Amino acid sequence: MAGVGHRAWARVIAVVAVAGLCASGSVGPRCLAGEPADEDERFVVIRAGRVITNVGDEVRNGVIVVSGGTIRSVGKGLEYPLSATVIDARDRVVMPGLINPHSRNGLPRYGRGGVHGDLTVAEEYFPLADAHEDLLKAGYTAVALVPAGQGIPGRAMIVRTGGDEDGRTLQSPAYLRVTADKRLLRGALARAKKEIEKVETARKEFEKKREETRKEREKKAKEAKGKKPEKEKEGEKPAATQPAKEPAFKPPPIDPAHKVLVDLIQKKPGVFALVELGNASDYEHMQEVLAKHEIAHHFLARNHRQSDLEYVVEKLGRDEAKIILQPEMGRVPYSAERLHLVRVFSEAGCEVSLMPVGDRASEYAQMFGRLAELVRAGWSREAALKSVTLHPARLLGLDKRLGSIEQGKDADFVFLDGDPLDPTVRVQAVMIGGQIVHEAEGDE
Amino acid sequence: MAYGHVGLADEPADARAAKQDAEAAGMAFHVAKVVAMDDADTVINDAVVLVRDGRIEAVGPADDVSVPDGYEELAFGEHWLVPGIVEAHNHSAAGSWSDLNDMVYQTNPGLDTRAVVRPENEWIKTAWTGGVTTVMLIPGSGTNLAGMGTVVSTGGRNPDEAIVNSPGSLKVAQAGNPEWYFGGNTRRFMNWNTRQTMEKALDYHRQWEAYEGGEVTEEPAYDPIWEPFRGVFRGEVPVTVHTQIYQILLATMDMFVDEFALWTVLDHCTFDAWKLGPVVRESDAYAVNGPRQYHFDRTARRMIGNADGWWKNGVRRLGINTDAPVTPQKELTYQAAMACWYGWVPHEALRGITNINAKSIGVYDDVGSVEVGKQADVSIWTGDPLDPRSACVLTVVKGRIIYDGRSGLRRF
Amino acid sequence: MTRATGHSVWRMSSRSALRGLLAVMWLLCGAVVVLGDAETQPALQPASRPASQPASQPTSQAVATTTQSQPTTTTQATTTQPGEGEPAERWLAVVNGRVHTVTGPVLDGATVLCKDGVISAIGTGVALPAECQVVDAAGREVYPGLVAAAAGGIHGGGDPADTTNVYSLNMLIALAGGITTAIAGDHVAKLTFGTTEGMVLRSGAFLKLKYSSRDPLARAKLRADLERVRAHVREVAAYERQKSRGDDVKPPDKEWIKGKYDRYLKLLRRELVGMVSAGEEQELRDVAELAQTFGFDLVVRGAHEGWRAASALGRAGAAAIVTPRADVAPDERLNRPNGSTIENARILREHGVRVAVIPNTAAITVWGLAGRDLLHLNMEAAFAVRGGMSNDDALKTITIDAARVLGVDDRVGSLEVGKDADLLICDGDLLHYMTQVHTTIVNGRVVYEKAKESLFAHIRPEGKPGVSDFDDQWPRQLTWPD
Repeated sequence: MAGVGHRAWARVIAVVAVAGLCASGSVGPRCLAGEPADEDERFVVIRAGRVITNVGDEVRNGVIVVSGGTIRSVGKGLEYPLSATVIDARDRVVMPGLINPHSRNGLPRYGRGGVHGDLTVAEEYFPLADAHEDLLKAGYTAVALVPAGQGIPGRAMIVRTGGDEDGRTLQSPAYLRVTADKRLLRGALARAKKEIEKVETARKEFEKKREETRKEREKKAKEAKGKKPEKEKEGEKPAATQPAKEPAFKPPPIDPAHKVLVDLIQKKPGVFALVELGNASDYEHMQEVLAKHEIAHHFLARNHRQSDLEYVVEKLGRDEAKIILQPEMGRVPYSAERLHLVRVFSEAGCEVSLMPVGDRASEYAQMFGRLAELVRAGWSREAALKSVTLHPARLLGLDKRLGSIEQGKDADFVFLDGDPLDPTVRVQAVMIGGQIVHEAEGDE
Repeated sequence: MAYGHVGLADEPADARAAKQDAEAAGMAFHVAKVVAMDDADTVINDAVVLVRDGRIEAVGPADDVSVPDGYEELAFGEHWLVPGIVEAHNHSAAGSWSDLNDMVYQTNPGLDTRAVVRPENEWIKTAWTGGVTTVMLIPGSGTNLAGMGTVVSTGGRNPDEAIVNSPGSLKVAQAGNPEWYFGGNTRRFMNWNTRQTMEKALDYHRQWEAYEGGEVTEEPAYDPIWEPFRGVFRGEVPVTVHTQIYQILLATMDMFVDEFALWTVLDHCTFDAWKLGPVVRESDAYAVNGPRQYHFDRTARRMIGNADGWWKNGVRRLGINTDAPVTPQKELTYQAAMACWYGWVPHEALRGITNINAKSIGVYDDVGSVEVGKQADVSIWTGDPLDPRSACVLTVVKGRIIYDGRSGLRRF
Repeated sequence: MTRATGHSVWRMSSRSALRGLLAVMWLLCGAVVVLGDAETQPALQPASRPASQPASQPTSQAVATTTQSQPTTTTQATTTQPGEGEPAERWLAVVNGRVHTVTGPVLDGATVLCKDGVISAIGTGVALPAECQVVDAAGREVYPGLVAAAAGGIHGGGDPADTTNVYSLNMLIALAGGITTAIAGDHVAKLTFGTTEGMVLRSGAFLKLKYSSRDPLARAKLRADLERVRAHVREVAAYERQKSRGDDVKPPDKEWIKGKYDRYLKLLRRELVGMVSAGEEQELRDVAELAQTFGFDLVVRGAHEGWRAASALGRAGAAAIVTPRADVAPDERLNRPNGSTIENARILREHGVRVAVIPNTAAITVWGLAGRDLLHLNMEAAFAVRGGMSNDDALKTITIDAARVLGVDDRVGSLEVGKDADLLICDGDLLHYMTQVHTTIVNGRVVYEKAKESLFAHIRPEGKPGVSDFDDQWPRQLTWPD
């Protein structure tokens, strides 16, 4: 490319950026249609009073450079195009958008039982623009929506809470939701194993037949060599010269409801079960089944008031388990003694993610307050902030894109008017994919 | 026949008793241990107890007590002799569930359990097999005030013999049952109404006092409903109050111990009421604990022994009850054993079901300890009476053997 | 990076445009790969370490549901590779205690050594391996865990291994009372607090029968059915004999042997034990006669008039589950001795009837009435002593004899080499009313410690003061430390 000057390079880079934006889907089809778009608007620069990155120290009076919806750099004294969109957030605290790992926000109630590994939330998801307004206003930028019901009701779907309606899906299908029904899970896994055996048996049958057919052909070929060629009938080729067109092995279909369990047993990457526990005994029972088949799994536990989950903290901590809890101070069962279960799990070695206490707007809005209460009662600030950002991202397997402010991750931020653990803190704005999708009005 | 023999042919009770009355001049018990439960806390090993004319004639080491001629000698091996067990909170001397309460009004002054005493009924007979000789028969707690209680001797063969004190006590139930009478009262109404009743009774008593003291000349009207209350206000008859839970027992202390200043027996004293130990120990009130012997304290995840709680908070006038038939009358010693499992001291527990209970219901002058001159109400056991492995083999009331479990099959 | 002008960027030469277009295409293809749907994303780490379990849990799929006849052949746990971070063998030793083996002597200062949940040695001078959990029982009494022949509310319904809350308060309190094995519906299960492993000992061993004079039709039907099945058994035996002689015979019809008839057949083969609830003398005599005539194993539950039918029950080889304190007043209208007596258990035992003792309330209660539920199972056995039984025999009614009645005496009920490591460490004679359990061990694991669990820790934390001999509970001076 000799002789191409700076201007040509600039154009190429601009085109690359455009192409990147097109591919990421955060910009609409207008781009691909070739309509000219202003390259300056694709750079967004946030000048922030404080940036809580979740990796290392906070950045004070720093800059976040975003392009194409992705973080290009974070730091102080960074370079950016003069006419990039600059967002003045010098009186704001910027942290990664919150992630709700388990919700039915915006979805209707229904009951369901049995094994439905083939069903996903996508089938009941018809997003309106403001479907997750409540979450968005509370600072949430991503939510894992789950199917309702008991047993193995289906698979979750992870979406953004705002931004362009067509580009909200982050991952679908996502984890398999499993409630604490030991016998159902055991039966379902047994059935899945049978399906695997069915396929294996069919495969062996097929290979055996193929082997036999091949041997037959060989035998006939040998016989044909030692004989005079017979008078050929019309249209009939001699058997030996007929090229055998071998049909490919068509495995018998696996029962769709159990397909995901087959994937779990075969340790397919990216597939895991989220197992919901009611009490400590549920852990023992479910773990018995999960360990037997070595199923990839994480746990969710509802630890309200007098939960007895402290009994299994040591085991889970030793496994460094990822677990979703509720941000509540509890009590030792049958006692008035307070028990900071979230802190106990965290200090035992678990990676704790938090989900709102109840699946409703008032609880979403309460989340920062609850974090503050838990930290006041002795939890580490760092673990608290990560429990709603980085840890859920890791649990969901989306930590390459979400959960912290570092290069290469999505530009999903929440802008606060104070420290996140300050009791008076408010969400002032939310950015998703580099675009401000929510701004608080006045007294909001 | 001594009850407790399951179906073995035997002489009728009266015949044996008559024989006994006729023959011996007295009885001599030879036992391995006497736990007298007197105020000196006398314990004698290898002892002899002499009984004559229904009274205890002598108690002492075998070497010091000589048995007069003509006395029936009853020799027991490694057995213990203790006072006849005294129960302060009993409903089973009436012999049936239907005689528990009369729930006519929220308070029912004028009623009296002496009318329903059934000597030698099935429940009293089984009580003999547990060494129980005296019980306070009180009405149930279905209303705030269900009438007067009666002190009953389990050895009585007829009402005259059976009824020891009448009125034996005034039965009050502060709360914790009477609520259900009207299908839902609160303590606001109940405390007010109970107080009203006591005030009316006190008023009657004052009028008669004034007349008897010469302050007025006109004789007040006689009212049989309020007349029995006079003994209560004169301090001759205790008020036995069914009361438990902190706030309710506090109301009892307030009303009966402080305001009306009566001789008060706190019955039950269960749940978390033991926390009032510092208050109760400053008063003359008796705490008779049961039938629940422990409280599951759900603020501290602990099983608190009630008697242990009272004792550790300084209450010494502490007894145990069965609330028979809620728990069987014959198992009063076992109730005491359970109080000890939960932390109390066995010696004090035995005192609680003899000495203390007797004092609480005002019969200590006659029963509740093995002392020279007192009524010969004793029980003889194969070992520690609190130990469920020990059996009561002999129960004696007024010097008469009412239960003999030495031969044949024992009911208990 | 600066730029010169605002609008000139798209006015480019055709060559640059072509290059740009190619770049776009290349990037689009790549982008699809990078940002495609979830299935093709780079592999995630497995969600947790699923295969290995924490050290405190045994990795064995233990032999819970099979009945074992020879304790010495039991292998409780398969060992894991030490490389996984777990011990290859799990050792526990209870040392310095006074060991009551129940089926053998009482050993002072002995050691009970347990390997992988099974007793491997009992005695003095037992060498301990290097890695061994040691529990000091100095000054304490060591007993086998108690067996409750009636229980409710501790294990879950159906298959307890699937439904039991292994952290329930009821189970914890029962362990504080020393109970380590209990009947759970149709199963016999251990109180494995904190784990589902090694829970179920035996399933489906009892067949409930009704043989009461209050339902004469059902009685007659049962007898007729048993006759029919017995006849079949004889036919089969005859057929076998004839066949072995070489006769040409047809096998007897077996089609009708299903459902209840199949169960009756198992009963007559002594593969099932018949369980009958009966209390009165005649009922007991009748069912004893039935058992003796048809030759099946019988357990009677209740049996408050067992003392009247003791020899009949003994001859029938029956066992009895009784409550010594059962209180049934004699009916004076009857002209024969009747009613209950505290000496019932003793009399039954003297006539060769195996006796298991249960309390009035076969459950755990927490509302305050003391001494009549499963927490004080040991007290119910004490009442059997009141009835004339010896202390040792009464202890058996809640240990080895109860285990025999439930058919699990090959595993539990006494301290013997090869049996399960279920032990209690108490502060006195287990049948004394002041004694409390300090430590309970199930399957070689400490599951209850009085000092660490707040429920009873405040009650005499150092144990019962004074001597622990039966006949001298109170010091003669009758002083008691405060």
